[in-house]
Order: sequence, then structure tokens, then C-alpha cells
Amino acid sequence: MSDDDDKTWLDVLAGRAPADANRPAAREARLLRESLIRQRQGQQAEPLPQPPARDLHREAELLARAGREGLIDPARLRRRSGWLRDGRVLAAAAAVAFVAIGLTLFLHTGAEREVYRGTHDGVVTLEAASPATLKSELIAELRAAGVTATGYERFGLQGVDAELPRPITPQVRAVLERHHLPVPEDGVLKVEITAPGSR
Amino acid sequence: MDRYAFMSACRDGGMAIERALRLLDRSYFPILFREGLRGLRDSESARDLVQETFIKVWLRCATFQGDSELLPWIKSILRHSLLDRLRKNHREAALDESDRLESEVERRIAELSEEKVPRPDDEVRRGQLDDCFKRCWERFESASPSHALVMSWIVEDGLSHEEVGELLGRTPAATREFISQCRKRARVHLAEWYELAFGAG
Repeated sequence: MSDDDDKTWLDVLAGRAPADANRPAAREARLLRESLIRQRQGQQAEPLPQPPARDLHREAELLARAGREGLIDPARLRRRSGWLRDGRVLAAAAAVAFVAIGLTLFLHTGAEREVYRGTHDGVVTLEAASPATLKSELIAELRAAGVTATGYERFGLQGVDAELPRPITPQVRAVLERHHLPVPEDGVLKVEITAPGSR
Repeated sequence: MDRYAFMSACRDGGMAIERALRLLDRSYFPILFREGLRGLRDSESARDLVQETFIKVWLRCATFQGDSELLPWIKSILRHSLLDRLRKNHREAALDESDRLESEVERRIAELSEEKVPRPDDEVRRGQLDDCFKRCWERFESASPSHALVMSWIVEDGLSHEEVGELLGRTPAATREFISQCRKRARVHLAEWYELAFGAG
């Protein structure tokens, strides 16, 4: 099978008109396409599980997961009294609170997992056993604090750049302190994260 | 969820995240769940996949340009994750060129599609063909889930070579190879259907 043949096959399979509709590859793909479409129409008529568009338990699960990922401030989740008044989601709220406490403990112990190695030319160097993990956590926490943070990997080095609000908000200050990061004078946070023994 | 509302929530961050996650769930969970279920064939895994997708959507929200609708962008993130899961959970058997049986099947299909034209359809025959196709396609999905899934996405969304490459995270050459593999594998697993569709009547 030539590349040209495969291209014709792909085009016809995708519903595009090929240069030569009578090529065997075109006939083969056309038949396949028709059968797949008929099968799909048949599947759509089958009674598949149809989840409801709105499901409070599912939403609570998603928010709890977002909490675990550091996207949502756990303290704010705890303050959601409206949720607590809703009897249907008491269990979900309890789960969220549980995750919130877990996350708080995690973040507290997380302070020991990285070491501040200094600042050179405005770039802060941290050392962590898992630089990629710390980078993701730092980005998620900064975003949860309302900061646009971007991560990168360059020459095997993990990094985070972020423009901090001025004046620094208490939420952002808390993130910086948790990770031993000094407040940058120009408001631009530049962090490089290395693994132990990599420098 | 409106794409501009999504972009604005992404810019705002903070409290907007929670509201946006809820809206994403309400707007897109059912449709994404069905997509996940088709690939994973398990409700719990599909539910987990969709929630993982929403988290990824939020983590990558700054990369959404707003020049397209939100759903196709979210769907492509889900499809990436789905293919990743299939790769991890299922080591797809390589098509061994030295396997005589598979080569024979492929040769026979090539001959049929070269020499014959599909037989004219009538209702009974179409029913037989569809039943046969369903059986064969299930075998294909089971043996090569990634290839079968990508083929069904090509049909549904009219994906181009470049879009398939983007979805797979592969170079153009590697994408060409993947598409060629799709075709070869389909020929092997759908051999019975090809015989019926192209065979002499």
C-alpha cells in the first residue's frame, strides 16, 4: 500500500472527495465509512447510560478533585454554607471538607519538600525531589490565588513564570511563603526548579 | 458554556474556577461521558476520564485561543487522555509481517477491492452486511482499540492527516505510519466483512 493510496483512503474515510473516486482504496474506504456511519446511527438508538446534565454529587466530586489538584482554595470550599444547607449534598460536602483538611496538611508538610537555593538575576532557584510535580503544584496554587502562571521545561529544567498582582494579595503571599519564595521587587516571579545533585 | 465566559473565568482565576468547573460539568458531562464510554466501555472509567479532562481543561485554559468553539477543544483534550489510557491499559499486538495468515488475509482483501465492485444492496443483504460488520468491528476494537477509535473519529469529524497527527502527538511521518496501520489492521479484522461486501454474488 503506497502513501498515496493511504491518503486517498483517509480522505474518503473522512468524507472528502478524492482525486480519483474509482481507485480501489477509495471504494474500500467509502464502504467502510458508510458501514461505520450506519453502525453509529444504530448505537445512538441503543439505550446507553445517559447521565443527567446536572448532578450535585458529581459536581462535588469534581470540586473535591480540583481541591486535591490545588485548583481551589480549600478554605473557601469549607465556607460554602449554602451547600451545607442542602441535605442532598451533605455527604459530598463532608467529602470536600475531608479533602480540604487533607490538602491543608499536604501543603503544610509540602513546605519541607523543597529547598531555596538562592536568587540570581531575578531567578529564584528551588531544589525538589520531583521538580515537575513541584512546578505543577506551584502553578496550580498561583492560579488558585488568581495569578496567571505559566510553566516550562527547558533543557531538562522545570520553571515557572508569573506576573504577580501589586500590591501582593494575602493569598499570593501565602503561596510564596509556603514555597520559600521571596517577593520579587519588580512583581515578576521567575522560578527554576532543579533536582538534587543536578547542578 | 459560552467560550467567552470560559476565557473570562480563566483570566479571573480565583473564585471563578469553582463556578466554571460546575458550568463545564453541567454543559458537557453527558456528551463527553458517551465519548469516553465508547472508548473505555466502563462507566466508572468514563466518569473518571471526563473529570480528569475538566481538570486538564482548567489547567490549560490559558492556551484556549477562543477562535473555535469550546466543545471541540475540550473533546480533543479528552481524546488525548483516552488514547493515553488505552496505550497504558492495552498493549496492542503488532501486526507481524511474517505472520502468514494475516498476510494472506490482507492479500485477499487487496485482490477483492482491486478486482470487484461492491455488490448492489438490497435490504436483506444490507442487514447481513451490517451484522457482519458489527461483529468484525467489535473484534477490531478489542484487538486494536486506538486504531479503531481514531478511525471512527475520522469518520465522525472528517479529520485531516494533520488533525490526526495533532491528536496522536506524532510527527507527520509517524502519523502516516499510524494511518497505514489503521488500514492494514482494519483489513485483517474486517476480512470476513470485506469478503461479504466485495465477494462475487
